[in-house]
Amino acid sequence: MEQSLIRNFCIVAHIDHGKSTLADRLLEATGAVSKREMREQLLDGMDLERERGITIKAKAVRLRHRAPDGREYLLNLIDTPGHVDFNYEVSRSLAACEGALLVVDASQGVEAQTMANAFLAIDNGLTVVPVVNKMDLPGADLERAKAEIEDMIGIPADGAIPASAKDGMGIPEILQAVLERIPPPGGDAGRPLKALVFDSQYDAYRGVVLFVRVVDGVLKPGMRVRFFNSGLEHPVLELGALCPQSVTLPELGPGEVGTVVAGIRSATEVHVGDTLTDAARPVGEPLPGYKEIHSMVFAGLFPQEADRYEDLREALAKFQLSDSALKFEPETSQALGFGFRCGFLGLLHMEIVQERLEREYDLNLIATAPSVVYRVRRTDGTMLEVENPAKLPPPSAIDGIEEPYVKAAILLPAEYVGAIMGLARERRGIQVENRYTSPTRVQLTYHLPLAEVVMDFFDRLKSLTKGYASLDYEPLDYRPGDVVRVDLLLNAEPADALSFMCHRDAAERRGRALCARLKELIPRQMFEIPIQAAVGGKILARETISAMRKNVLAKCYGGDITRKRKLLEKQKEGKKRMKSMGSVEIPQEAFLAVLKLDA
Amino acid sequence: MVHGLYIHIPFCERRCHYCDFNTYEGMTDLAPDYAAAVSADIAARAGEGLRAAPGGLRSVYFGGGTPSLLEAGLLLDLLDSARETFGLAPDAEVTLEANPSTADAGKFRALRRGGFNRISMGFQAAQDRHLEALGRVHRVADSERAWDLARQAGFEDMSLDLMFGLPKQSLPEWEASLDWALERGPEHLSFYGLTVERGTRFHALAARGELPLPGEGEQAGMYEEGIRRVEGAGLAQYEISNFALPGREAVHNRLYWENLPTLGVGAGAWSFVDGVRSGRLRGPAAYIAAVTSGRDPVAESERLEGREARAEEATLALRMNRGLDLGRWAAARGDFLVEFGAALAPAFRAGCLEREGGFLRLTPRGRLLSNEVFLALL
Repeated sequence: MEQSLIRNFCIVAHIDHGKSTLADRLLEATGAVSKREMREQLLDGMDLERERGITIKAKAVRLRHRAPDGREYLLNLIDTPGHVDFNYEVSRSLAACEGALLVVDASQGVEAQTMANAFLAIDNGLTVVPVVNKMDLPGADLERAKAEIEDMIGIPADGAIPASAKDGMGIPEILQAVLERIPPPGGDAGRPLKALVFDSQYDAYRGVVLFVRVVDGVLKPGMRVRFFNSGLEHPVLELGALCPQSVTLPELGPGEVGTVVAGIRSATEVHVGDTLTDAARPVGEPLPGYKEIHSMVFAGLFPQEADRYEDLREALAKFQLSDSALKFEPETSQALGFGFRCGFLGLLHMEIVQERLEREYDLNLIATAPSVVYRVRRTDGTMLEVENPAKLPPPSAIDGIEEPYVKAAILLPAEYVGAIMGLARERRGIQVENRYTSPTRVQLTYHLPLAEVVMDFFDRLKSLTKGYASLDYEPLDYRPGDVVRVDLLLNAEPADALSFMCHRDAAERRGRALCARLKELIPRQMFEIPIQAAVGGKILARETISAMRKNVLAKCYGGDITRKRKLLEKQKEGKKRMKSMGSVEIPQEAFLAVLKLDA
Repeated sequence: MVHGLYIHIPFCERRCHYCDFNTYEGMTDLAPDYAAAVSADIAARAGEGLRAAPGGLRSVYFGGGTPSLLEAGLLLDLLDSARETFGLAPDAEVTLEANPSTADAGKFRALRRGGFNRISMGFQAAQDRHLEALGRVHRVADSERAWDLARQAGFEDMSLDLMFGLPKQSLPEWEASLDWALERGPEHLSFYGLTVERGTRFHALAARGELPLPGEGEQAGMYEEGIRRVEGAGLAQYEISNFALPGREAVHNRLYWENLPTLGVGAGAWSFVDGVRSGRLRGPAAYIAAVTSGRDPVAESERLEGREARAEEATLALRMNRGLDLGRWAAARGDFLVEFGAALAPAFRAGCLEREGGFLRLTPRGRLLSNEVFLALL
């Protein structure tokens, strides 16, 4: 394929600003999908895929477009995950493109995610074409949107295309801009193979399907390819593209985007951002930008029914085949039994995984409160990463603890600035910027401990601003923090599964809240139960559950014997759902409520 | 082989608001057919080879319902068929449950002469307003009269029942009921905490939040005060809810708690024979029809084995103040504490169980929390 006739581009937008609808219109306009076939939001529709039996989500769609100049162009529309959790994945998809359509909602203007994604695109050297979408809505304000694009993102907005993906307005202009403003890919077919792996998908029949962008050289079936970073080698079995139906191709040349099947069994072998090269003629340098991905947020996932543990293990393993960002290892909880400690890219990733596991594998899951990874510097000079409070060394062995920080950008109407500054202060945020992006909108930039963000920061932010604030964050660094482990003692015995880590200033408040909540939730037992919260042996809070006085069957003759035994057996069943911690029995409901306890 | 016979008489003038026993109002017309069916039931079991333990039955108990509603002739017929079929031990306990409202001098005399030697009366309370609230037919004066009539008829072994934890009942009222009852000079006394059972009027009231019961702590206090007063009158507690003068513990009751085989005849009556607990058809008409047509009147049965059976037996033994005889248990069933000790450890720690003189027993505190202890066993 002649490179001058290829355009590789993506669409970046804030959530709900119309990315998927625009993609649909582009597919329609180029004839890839007829109007009759068209269903809403083809690129995003997981349910839709199942209904149609399409096994591969369209991570990249190849469109043929006959331009007014009479020539046929090849447009590769590359999908980008729309959320901050997938920042790295987004950056790798962007790296496969030369240009990006920046979609801004005509009435809502630039949002936090718009900026984050736009900056990623600019950083990756992409040509950005602004599109002001939803012009059909009554509140549409093209000029304001353009001003925000210029002020907040810093790119000229003269050429911004007014559009309405919903009713087709501006679609021909957008296609023309893709051809005219986005440069064709470079690259040299004669040089050794160099291709970027920007995504992958698991297919039950073919194994892992790689999505690649060829930079130099030519990919052909039969070739033996090597992953530069992992060093693994595989033979190329099949090349193809999604139009959006799957087609096979004889080769992929410089600038082309397509799929590679190479007999790879698990997504865990594939690292997004890795460089594919010819094993017989490898390149000396990989493509830039590759990063190992690290879990940012951890949570325990446990089956609600203990006998579904094996099912959960299988589901996670299968899930991981298509989502290498998911990490998991077995975990045993005093309270919840056998389950898995899972690592996620962020909160959204965690929600997506949990929801898909429940829906697609018919599991009922209990998810524990998300936690972060602390770095513990021991007195012997070694470092330890701790994401489970139970694994924290004794205080005497700790020299210091560092906690992860993120850089958070919050965009909000000016009237809420006071409330959100208060929230950020309460969450130990350090303000680094406070900028009016327009007379009524403010961008606040904070350095925030991730632990404070994962708790309920987003919910609080939304409720304090009536839903008008948007948030975007990226990992920043680790900083020393006065982090302590709060131990929970039931009947003077430590209950590991209830301990948690937090900043020293919050320890007493959270400890008190937890003791009070436990008092409500733990039923009275044969003996009095003191509940204490302590840091390093110092008691911060105490509650007492008084002993049960009376639980007796007054009558037990003849027929009562069987009937009342069955009654007791029923009670016993109820107790079985409780977990013993030392001598104290805790109902699972109580335990969960505690794990979800807000600060 | 059975040690005792229980005969259920399911008829009542009126059903009490708390009662979930197998009882029916307005069916007394069935009594003659019913009595005939019970006799046939007894005969049929003997026909199948069931026998009394050597020496004869140690107890025959007429419970209900209101057995005292039946004509003396029918009751004596039933006792005769039990005597003729199984044989009675010379000192057999023959008990009639009586409602004070049905007291009749002639009936009591006839029964006493015919072999009944024990009466158990449901007094429940010494305040008419509580009797009314419970839906009882009788009043306090009826209780006093019935008691005296039975004494005059020659009953020397008499028991009465009281209830505590009644709606709006105060501790002084409960104390008054106890004192009044003890003034009658009973040989045996039972008191029961009110239990709100499904399907009763009280249950419906409670569901609507219209049953103002004393709190758990108050009820516990009533129970403890009850023990103090009854034992103060010389009746020793021998089971969670039962007290007796020395040597007057109810044989009938003890058969249950000692897990000994008994035959229960009549509608809804339960038997424990050859390790099987079985319950008969509950409807009187259905029961009569089944027995008279020669069908098995058993509606449900269960055989517990192994650990389950041992756990059940232990819960029964622990209901008694004497407790579980560890030595005898070991001889027949292995070391009790090896099997159940770990499960019972929290109960020991909580001061609900104690071990003394080869017996394992509930402490006074443990009796109030006996369900918690039994739960650990199951």
